[in-house]
Parts: sequence; structure tokens; C-alpha cells
Amino acid sequence: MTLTPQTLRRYGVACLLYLIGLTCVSEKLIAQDSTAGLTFKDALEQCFSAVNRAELAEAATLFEQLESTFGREDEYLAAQVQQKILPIRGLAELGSENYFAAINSLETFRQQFPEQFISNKTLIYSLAQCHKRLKQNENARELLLLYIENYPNTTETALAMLEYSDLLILDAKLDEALAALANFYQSDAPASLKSQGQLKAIQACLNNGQLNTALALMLETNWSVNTMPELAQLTFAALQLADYAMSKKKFPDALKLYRLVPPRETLISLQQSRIDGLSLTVERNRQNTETNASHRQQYREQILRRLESQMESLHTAEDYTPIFYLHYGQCLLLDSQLYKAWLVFEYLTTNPNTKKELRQESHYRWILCAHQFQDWEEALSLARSFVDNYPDSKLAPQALYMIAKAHLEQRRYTESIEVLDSLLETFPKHALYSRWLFTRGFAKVVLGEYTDARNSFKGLIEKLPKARLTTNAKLWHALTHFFEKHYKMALTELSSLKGDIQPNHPLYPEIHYRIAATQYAARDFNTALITVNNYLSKFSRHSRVEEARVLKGDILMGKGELEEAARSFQAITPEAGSLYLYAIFQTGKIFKALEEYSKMIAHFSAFAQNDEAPRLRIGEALYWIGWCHAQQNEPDKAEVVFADALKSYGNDLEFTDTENILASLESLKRRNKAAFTQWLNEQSDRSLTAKSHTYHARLQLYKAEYSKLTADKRKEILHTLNHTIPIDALDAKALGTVGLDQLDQDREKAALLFKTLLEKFPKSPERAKAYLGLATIDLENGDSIKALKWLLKSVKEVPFHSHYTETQLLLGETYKRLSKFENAISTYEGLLKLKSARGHPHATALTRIAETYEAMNDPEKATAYYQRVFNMYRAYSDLVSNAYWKSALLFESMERIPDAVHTLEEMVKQEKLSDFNERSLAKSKYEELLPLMPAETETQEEGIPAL
Amino acid sequence: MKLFLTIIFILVHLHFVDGAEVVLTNQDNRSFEGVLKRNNNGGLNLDVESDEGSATLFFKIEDIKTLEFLDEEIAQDGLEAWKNNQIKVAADLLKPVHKNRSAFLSLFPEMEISPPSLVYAKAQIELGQFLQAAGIAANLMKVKTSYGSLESEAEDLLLLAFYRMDRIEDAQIIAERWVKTRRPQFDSALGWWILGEYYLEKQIPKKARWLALQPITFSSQFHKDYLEECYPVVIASYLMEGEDEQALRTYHEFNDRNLIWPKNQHPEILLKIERLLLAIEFSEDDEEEPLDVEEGVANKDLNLPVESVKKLTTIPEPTP
Repeated sequence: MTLTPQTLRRYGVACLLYLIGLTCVSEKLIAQDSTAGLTFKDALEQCFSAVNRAELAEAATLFEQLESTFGREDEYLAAQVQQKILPIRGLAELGSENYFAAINSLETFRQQFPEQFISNKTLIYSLAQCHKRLKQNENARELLLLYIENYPNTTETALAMLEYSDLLILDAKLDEALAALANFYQSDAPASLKSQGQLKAIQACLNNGQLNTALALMLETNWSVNTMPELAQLTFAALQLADYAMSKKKFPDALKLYRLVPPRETLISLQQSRIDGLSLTVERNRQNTETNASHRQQYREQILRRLESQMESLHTAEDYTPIFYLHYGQCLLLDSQLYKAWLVFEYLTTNPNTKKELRQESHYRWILCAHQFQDWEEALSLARSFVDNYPDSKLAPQALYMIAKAHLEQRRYTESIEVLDSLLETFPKHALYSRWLFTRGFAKVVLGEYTDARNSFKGLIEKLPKARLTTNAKLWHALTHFFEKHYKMALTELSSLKGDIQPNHPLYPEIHYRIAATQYAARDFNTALITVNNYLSKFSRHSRVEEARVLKGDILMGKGELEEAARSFQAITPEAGSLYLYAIFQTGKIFKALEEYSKMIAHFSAFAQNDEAPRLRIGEALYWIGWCHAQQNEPDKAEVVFADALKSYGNDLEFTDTENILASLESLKRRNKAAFTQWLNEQSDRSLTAKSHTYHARLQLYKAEYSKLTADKRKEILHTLNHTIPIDALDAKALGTVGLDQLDQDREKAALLFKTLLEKFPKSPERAKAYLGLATIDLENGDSIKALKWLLKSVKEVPFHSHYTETQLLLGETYKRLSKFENAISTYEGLLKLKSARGHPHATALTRIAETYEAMNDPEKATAYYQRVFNMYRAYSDLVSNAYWKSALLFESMERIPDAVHTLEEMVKQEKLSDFNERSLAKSKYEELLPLMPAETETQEEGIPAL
Repeated sequence: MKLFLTIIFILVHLHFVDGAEVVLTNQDNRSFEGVLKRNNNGGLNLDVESDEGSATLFFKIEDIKTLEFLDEEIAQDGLEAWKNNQIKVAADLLKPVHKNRSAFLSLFPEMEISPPSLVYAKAQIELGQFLQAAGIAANLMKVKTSYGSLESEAEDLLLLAFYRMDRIEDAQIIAERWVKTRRPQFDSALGWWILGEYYLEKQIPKKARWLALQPITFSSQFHKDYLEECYPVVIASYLMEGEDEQALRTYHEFNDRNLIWPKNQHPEILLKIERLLLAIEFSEDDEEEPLDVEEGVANKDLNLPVESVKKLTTIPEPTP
């Protein structure tokens, strides 16, 4: 039970008398008060009466008078009387705020009756209170400890423990306080009080700058948020420590703490319900005289006052919620919880109540979030709305630049350039201006738009000659010439740049290396070798050293010093990754050129067996081993190696040499074709049974392409593959070939096959088939622009492939549909220059040029091209028939009836064309036009030119 | 859905009783005890009996100051039973109370005569009587109070009842409206959860995830109804998209928060998660160093003439 002067005054001490076992004083001990004329008994009664009336100050005075009157009397001094008087007097003095006197009374009692004192927890606690009031904290703590030790495991003890810790904190004994509170947390005290204790410890740590300890305490505590009263205090401590944890990059910890923070609206509602509940309890207990002065009641009242005060602050202070959400969102973002971060920033940004500055911050982070999500379109749209909403924000250009970079990373160079253009135009004085210009130039380089790229670099060099990126811009300016194969120009600029900068400039070695590479590309092998050797000796730690070694090998190859080149390549270690693989196969190429087949076998065998080497292109190496054996006339060995390669890699989607191996095997068995066919069929059946679908498809495709099958049989194979092999098991070639085959049967399936090819094998040359197929589909769907995009991609990315002719023809057709006639004609004419497209493709190209001129309303030129078709390509009856017929019609349209008649006459004479509809049409047309022939045409026939 | 709601209304109105025993106090503070009935003129009739005989008194709604239902004690017992989790007892006690009052709920929205009906509907849900619950909820939604919480609680019940009846399409309509009017910070995640389930069933995992993550993102340590139910939706959505790592991360968060997997909700997802955890446990034992992944593919054609070597045109990074 706790006693304070206020409590004693408010409730009286009757209950206290009861509680400490003093209901009355024995009658025989009372003596007469000589001074006041009262007996001791009456005087004492007077004291108790005052106590009963809660007139504690009066009681204290009366006790004092009692002592001055009867203090020397035996009755008064008798131990039994003192045992009764001293505690009541002490309590009355405490109630009248006379702490010194109270301490005197209670200490006297303690000395005289130590056992009784110890056995009365109220007296111990009250004495502690007196010392506390006089800031005699050490004494107070000693008494509280006495209390705790003697009366453990009660709620009052728990409260005393909290009070004890408070005193330690007040006396700056933080370590002791924390230890005490840690013990308290481990005790059986009510969860709500333990949370209180932890909060005290955390607050003390925060006040003393011990943030790590506070954080640890905060995290280890199992907060009983459903019962603990001081939610506001918990909320603000959690906020502070969550921010701290985030600053220390402890994101999961920070998030755990942010979860302890409700929005202000919720906190107010929760706090109000706690206040309501607590008020009810306090009020209920006030009715109960036995408990109204209890330790617990005191505690409740104290908490209630604190909660009400916090509530007032909560209502008047600025809402912490938006800032909390901003920090919380940021933490989620940093912890890669992008969905959640997105939701938080979206909420803050779109909430009309969010203040402008905060909304701006949140909007910017929302863009960051979209950026990390790689949701480029959304990111771009958010960034644009950011710039629209906050055009003067310092963050606006960064937001846009972030998007430009995002596009760049995604290889969406055109989009990146668009954003950079907008940045350059809108913020010409921004600190990042030079970087934007440089990045724009880089993007242009990647797009192959070298002139534009140079303009960007030049802009940077001229406008900001002292910018940090100017040297980079100069280097790249030179490199654009290199990429355009203008090596002389590139060398001039690189050499000049090298002369302009100090050897300790970070780009100096890079420029040096580039000069060597350019000299090599310009086939100046001698100078290149000197330069690269110079580079290797001077910059042995530069990042391009491995590349330089490879370059040296290439230079030596160019010089014809093949063995020296091989040695250079062999110095490249597996750590160099793709360069190592490159060097391995360049060495192989050298041995092949030198016809050193044994060395080649040893070289590739060592590579295939080297566990430290990247396990890539092993199948390819095996193929070359087999090939070497075949060259050395060791067919059995070759077959073994080939079989091994097929067994290990035949079903590997990434392996691209199955076809080569099969061709080699067929060649090895050329004297027994039937045996090869039988082997092929067996392998095919087995692979299907074993569900080696990729291998099976490859074998079947080989059969379809190389076994001189009829078109129907070939189609049947492709059709079966389409239906039996899962799409995931088809390699690039199969996807492209089956896709093209499906174009006229199942367009949707074909599109799926092409898209899979592009997704799974983005670097395979087979993707040319996908571009061709997708363009065909788009063109047939009337979307010529989309078709053009695919075809231009094909031309740019895979300039030479097995379907090049078809691609060019379709490109011409697409240009024609887009009314870009000049482009169409130049595309066809380009094809006419290709020797590999001689024959039917040339004839088709001529026909298409004629058709294009027709579309351009130039019948003269059109007929000229049709004439070339039927004069030069008579073997292709379909085209010839069409050319004659169209030509005749054009002559008719130009009213050149004799030319039309002669053309038709020539056509109908050709029996080879009898299968074509045009021929019967020509016959009718001939008869129709013949009567229209002018008379003088006969003289023309005789050799006299008509006017 | 309108037709279905009409059927529910009919079913509910079939349960209306003829009248309720009340003490009615008019605006002049005169009290009358009798059986209260609705009349066809939009007002109320009170059948009173006295020693002199019986009479029917007519009251306009605005004439009535207070109404005291004589079954109030039973109502309080029912509410107490509900608080003590005695669902069946609560339902039995509240059933006649609801019947007595249901006809007057919308007439006296501010008199707080609806809590027994609301709790009765909740009890019906717990007892699996979803159609009944939906009917009461639909009726309560017509009670337009100035404080509004009754309407939203009734909407919750209607939504839950439809969902539990497997009327997912109807539930979706209510849930779409629900999420538009509630904030994810508030103390219920019901609408987000059910809408998430809907899109999960429609095989649109991304949308399901965005919805179910709303209340999760804005939740704290303080209780939020149906928060547990949202986690399986998010986890399932990740698994559907093959994002096992994210699914596991969400599952760990769920566990860290000491939440309990809702009974009968997506047991297959829980099983899958456990399998994933098991797989990780095993793979950790014999983890191998990953192979280096090559950045690019070098020129591989050995058939090219030896002088036709690859030109190194590596593009450096655009940084200083």
C-alpha cells in the first residue's frame, strides 16, 4: 500500500489504520495531559479522531503536543504505546507533508521495533516515499529494495520495482537501472507492467544517447500492445528507433519497429479507449475505500494523468503519420519490398491531405520504386507527372535522368534519348548537363547513329570544355570513327587526345589500348604490335590487359605469325571468362590453319577436360576433335568423339553443333548412305522414347533438310515436330523452322514459336526467321509499320542468314505498302546485286520492281522490268506468265496496242505457260485487241520505225 | 445479384412477426404499453389493453420519443452470451429478439435497437447459416444511422455471407465497393482479402497480390480483422507466378508476426511452402559453388579464314 500526502488528505486514514492493524489504542495506556488538562487517553483519542477525520495536519500537531506533554511519562514511553503511536504519527506527518517529522517517527519505529517494521509493508513503502519526497533517493531505494525483497510477486512489488528503477535513472545510475529493469522483464510481473519497465529502460537509453541498447531492448521486447496503457510513448520511441535502425541499414529491424506505429488517427482512438477504460477502473476503485489509497490505484491515477496529457499533445501537435509513412516507405524500398513501398508512396502522393513538400518527396520515391520494379512505362509516367507537378523541384531533373538511365539499362536507347533530349532542353544549366549530353552520345553510339553521337560529344566538348566528362567525350568522339571503320580519323583523334592528357589520367591506358586496337583494325599490324606491347608493359594492372593479350594474339595472326599468336592466346587464363573461350577457339583456328590436327586435338581435349575452365562450348570443342580425327583419316575415332558429343550435348538447348556433327557423320559414312539413314532413324526413335525431345527435333530437322525428301514429306516431319515436341524443348533452329512452316497453317502457334525464339535465344542468328515470320504475320494483318520494324531489326542485327532473300523481298513489299517506293526499289536493287540471290529471287525482285513502278503510275518503267523477267528468266514460268500478262495490260493502258498485241502473241505461243490462267486470259485479250491494231503497224514490222 | 437480394429480403420478411411488446413514450412524455405494429400508412399502431378493454392507438414516427422493447433483458443475455463466445446460446436468445424488432429497425435508426440483430447475424455466420445472415445484413444495411458504423458492419456481414456461400461473383461486386470506401489503415481487411481471393481464382495473381498487400502494408501490431487471411492470398499469388523466393519471404513475415494460418484457407499453399522450406534445408547441406556465367559469346567460327579474326569492339562503360 502506498501513501502520499494527497491520498491521505483525500481519503482519510481510517483504512490505513485498519490496514496496519491499529483499530484503537488500549485504554489503560492513556494518561492525563497536564498541559491541556486532558488525560493521556483523551489526548491520544484526540489524535486518532483527527486521523479518522483525515485532518492529518491537525493530527500531526496533536501528536507533537502529545509528545511534548506526555513525552517523559512512562505511559507514553511504554513500548506497547510507542509501537502503536509511532506508525500512525508517521503516517499523519507524511499526510501533512512534514517529511522530516515522518521520517523521524517511522525511523524511530523501525529502530525500536525492527520486526514489526519489516512485517508492515505499508510502513516500509511510506518511509521510502518520505525519503523520495526529500530527494534522499539512496535511502528511498534502500527501502524500496527492502520492500521488494520482503514482499515479492505482487503487483505492488512490481510497481515498487518500477519506482526503484526510476530513482536509479534519476541518480544517473543507468547501468544499474537497466540491470534492474532487465530482471524485472524476466520476472512474473504482469505483462503490461513489464512493457512499462521496458519503455522506461528505452527512454533512459534514448535520453543518454545509448541508441544501440535502446534498439536492442525495443526489438527484444514482446510488447503487449493490447493491454499496455502508454501507447503514445511506445509509438514515439518506436518511430525514433526505427529511423535509427534504418540509418544503420538494419531494415528488417526498422520495419519491425515501424509496425509498432499506428497512424495518429488510430493511436488517438486506441489511447482514448485506454483512457476510458482506465478512468472507469479508477472511478470504480474510488468507491472502494479499501483500494482507493492502494499502491495500484496511485499508479493508475498517475498513468491516467500522463495519458490525458499525452492525448492533449496528440491532438494539438502536428500529425506524425505522413512523415512516418515516408520513412516506412523508404525502409520498404531499401529492403526491396517494392510492392509495399509502392503502396505507401502511392498513398502519400495521392492523398490530398499530404503537405506539398512531403508529397513531392513521396512522389520522387514512388518513381524510384517504379524504377526498381523495372516498370518503365509507369516510371516514365510518374516522372513526367512529377515534373508537371513540381517543375521547380530540385528533384525533377534527377527523376527524369533516372528514367533515361533505366531505358539505357533496358537497351531502350531511343526512349532514353527522348528523355535526355527533354532534359537537355528543359534544364540547360543543370549540374548534370554534361552527363546527360555524354549519355545521349553513348546511346546514339549503341544505336549506330554515329553522326548524332558525335554531335552530342562535340556539344559537350565545346560547351563545357572543363567538365569532368570532356575527356570521355573526346575518347568516344574518336571511337565513333572507329565504329564506322574510319580508322585514320579515329587514330588522329585518339593520338591527339593521348597527347593532351597526362599519363596519370584514368583514361590514359584506355586510350593507349584503343590506339592499338584501331591500328590493328586498320591492318597496320606492325605498329599495332608495338603499341599493344607497350601497353602491356606499362599498364599491367589496367582492366583491359586480358583484352590486350587477346588483341596481341589477333595482331600476330594478322601478321601471319601464327605460332607466336597461339602462344599469346595460350597465356589467357580461365579467369578472363569469355576472352578465355575466345582465345581457346582462336588457338584452335591457328592449328586448323596450320593443319596441325594432332595439336588441335590435344588443345581441345585439354580444354574439354579442364575443370577450371568455364563449362561452355565443350560440345563445340568435341566436334572439332572429331573433325580433326576425320581429317587424319581416323573415322572410328571421329565417330566415337562425335557420338560422345551427341550423347552429352545433343539434347542441350544451347549446343549448336548437332547439325555439323551429323553432317560429318554422314560424310564419314558416305560410302554406306543406307547405314547412316538407318542410324539416323534409330537415334531418332530412341531419343523420342527417352524423351530427349531437343535431340529428337534436331535429328528430324536434319532429316527434313538434308535427306532429299519431297516437300510433302518435309512438311510432314515439321508438322509432327510441331505436335509432338513441347515448345520448351525446341532449340532456336527448330523454333524458327517449325514457326515458318506453321505460318500458313496456324498463325497463332507460329507467332508463339517466334516469340519464344526471341525470348529464349535473343542472340541466335536463327532469330532472323522469327523476324521474318512476325513481319509476315503483321503484314498480313495490315500492320505494315510493325512489319517494317521487325524487318529492319533483322537487317541490322542478322545481316546474313539463310532467309536473307525472303527478308529483303518482304522488306521491299513492306516499303511498297507504306508508299515508300524509293526504299522498296532500292531494296530490290540491292538484292539484284547479290550473286547468292541469282535465279528465282532475282526474277522475283524484278517483278516486284515492276509492280512498284506500277504503283507509282510509271507504266513505262514497269513494263521494262516485266520484259526483263520474261526475257531473262524463262525457267520461272509463274513469274514469266505474270510478267507477260501484266506487261500487255500496261501497254494497253498506255494505248500502245501493237506492243500489247505482240506481247500477248508471244505469250500464247509458249506451251510452257499453258498451265497458267494468264495464258487463257491472254488469248481472249489478244482477240479483243487484234482488231484495234493500226494499219501502219505492218510497216513497222517491216523495219520502218513508226513515228 | 439484385434478384438474389430480393429473394433474401422475402425470406427475411417471412420471419417478421406481427408485433412487438413495447413501452412507447411519446413527445409529451406519456408512456403506453402494448403490442406495436407497422400500419400501411407509414406509421405505427399500438394495441393496448386495459381493464376497460382494448384499443389501437395510432402514432406517427415523429410522435415517438422512445421505445422500450420488453424483451430487452433477453437481448442483453444474448449479447452477453456472444461476448462469452457461446454462439449457439446467443443465436437462440437473439433469434426472437431480432424477429420482434426487425420490422422497426429502419424506422428508428438512432435508437440503437439493432445490436441484437447485428450480433444475431454474426452468430448465424459462425453457425454456417449464411443465407440467414445475408438476409439480416441486407436488412440492416437499410438502417441509415448518423454514425454509419452499423451500415458498414452490415456490409461486412453481407460480403462475408456471400463469400461463404461461394457466391464469389456477387461477393466481388460488394467487395469492389467495399475497398473503394474503406481505407487500408482501418481495422478490417475483409474486402481486400475477398477481392484478392476472387482474382486469385480468376488466375490474375498480380491483381490479387496488389489487393491483399494493401491491408498488410498498412497494418501494425494492433489487431486488424482478416489480416491473416490476406497473407495466403499474397503467398499464393507469388507461387502462381513462380516467385518462390518472394512467397517464402512473405511466409516468414507472416510467421514473424505470430499470425496463425487461417483454418481451411489454401491448405495446398501451406503444403507447397513447407515443401519449399524442406527443399532449401536439403539444398543448404550440399550447396556447390555456382558456375561462372559468361557475359558474351566470342566469335566461334573456326571455318573463317585465319586472317578474318574477330575485331575487338568492346564498348567501355560510359563513366569516367
